[in-house]
Amino acid sequence: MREWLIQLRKSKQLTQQQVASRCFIERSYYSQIERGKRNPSTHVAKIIGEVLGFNPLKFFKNDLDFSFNEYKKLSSEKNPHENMLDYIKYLEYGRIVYLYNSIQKYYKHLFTYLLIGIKDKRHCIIIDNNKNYCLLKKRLESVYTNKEIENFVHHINIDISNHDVESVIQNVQYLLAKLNDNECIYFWIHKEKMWQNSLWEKLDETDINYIKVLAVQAFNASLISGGEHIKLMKKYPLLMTDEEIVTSPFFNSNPNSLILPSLYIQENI
Amino acid sequence: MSELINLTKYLKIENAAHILYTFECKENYINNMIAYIKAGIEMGHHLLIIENSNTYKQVEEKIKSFFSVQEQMSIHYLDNYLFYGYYGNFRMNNIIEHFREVLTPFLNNQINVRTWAHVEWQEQNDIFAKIEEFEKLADYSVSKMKLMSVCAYDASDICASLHINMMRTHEYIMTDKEFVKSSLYRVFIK
Repeated sequence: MREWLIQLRKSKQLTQQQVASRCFIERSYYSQIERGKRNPSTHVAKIIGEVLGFNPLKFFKNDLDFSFNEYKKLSSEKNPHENMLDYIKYLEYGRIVYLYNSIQKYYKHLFTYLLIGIKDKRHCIIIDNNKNYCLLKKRLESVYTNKEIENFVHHINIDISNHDVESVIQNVQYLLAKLNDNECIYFWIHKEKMWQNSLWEKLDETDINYIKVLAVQAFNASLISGGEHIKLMKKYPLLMTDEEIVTSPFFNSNPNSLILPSLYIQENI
Repeated sequence: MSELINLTKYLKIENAAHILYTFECKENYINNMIAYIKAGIEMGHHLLIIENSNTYKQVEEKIKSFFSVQEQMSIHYLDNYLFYGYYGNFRMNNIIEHFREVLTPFLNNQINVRTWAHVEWQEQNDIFAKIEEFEKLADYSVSKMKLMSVCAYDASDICASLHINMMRTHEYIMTDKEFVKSSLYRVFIK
């Protein structure tokens, strides 16, 4: 809730409709901005600032102190690495982008992910090549029985489903149809091949969106560019490396996110 | 904590600030540079711009149209090809030392200066590892000299691995359209 905005509007004895009309926006949109449900674009922020007489960056600036303090608090906690398992253990759903440098650490994290999944009796859908899966299965067999692994770990081999997003989605839907609606699913997608580029977006369009899904999409960090990395940070709320999990600073809906316009856009506000 | 000063007319950040700018569009890149220069001049700061000569020709045209002759005297240019040893190996200690030498006259005369550096390099072995180390040293230098400093990289020239490591050495991350605090700043692998 943007109490400061509500108070400012009331101090000028204006209704939401009056402010919205002067800003050439819908009253419902303005109401959502006041309630904190939506963030205005820089253009709309500028107009509201002009109408009500305040610095438009105040839409973002109130969060600046909070997120700065929050950042300081997180920085002073123990090594973020030690919190990584906690992150995964207590997350029922979420989206994580994992950019790995070391294949050994990739295996280690995938193994941990599956260990937690099986221990908590959550179904794990692994979309990866056959070599990686066989390695992981061998490690899992030292901890769990074959039956436990087969019950909870489902592998979709990207080597077989070559150039075919649709067959992967069909496989996923087939698996999901066998599960209880309330079950939390773990997804792990290793993006190696070009045809996988649209995979998560297509999966999101299916029923998978409506169930509890904790999804990790893993990329080799040396094979994607800085520009692509930024695009990924805008799509995923959590950013994982070989050493830690942090909130993505570019994900708009993160509660502590503070995304300001770049310098020249601020100058033009 | 350093004093807060205006980065733009709306936003104040600490005087000692290391900003990573990963750009994709040249036009937005130049616009952001001009906005940075403008804010610096309005604060009475000098600007040190380290840029390649081709791009700087375009920047110079805008500088001449936006700033008075007097203001233009606060803007100092260095060719980044010479600065980063483009013609040879990327020698980080030499670069950092050169950076300090260039800035010392300003600092000795208590002249506030902010820097903008477009980092480019010649293809060579282990360049990303060298850049990563270089930026660690640069972050230390920027903090010690209490500078506001932008390091600009073409987003297509660097991989995600390097970008992530640079998020550890830069407090702020800028793109062509966004400006954020890095969630990995000074989070180093032990």
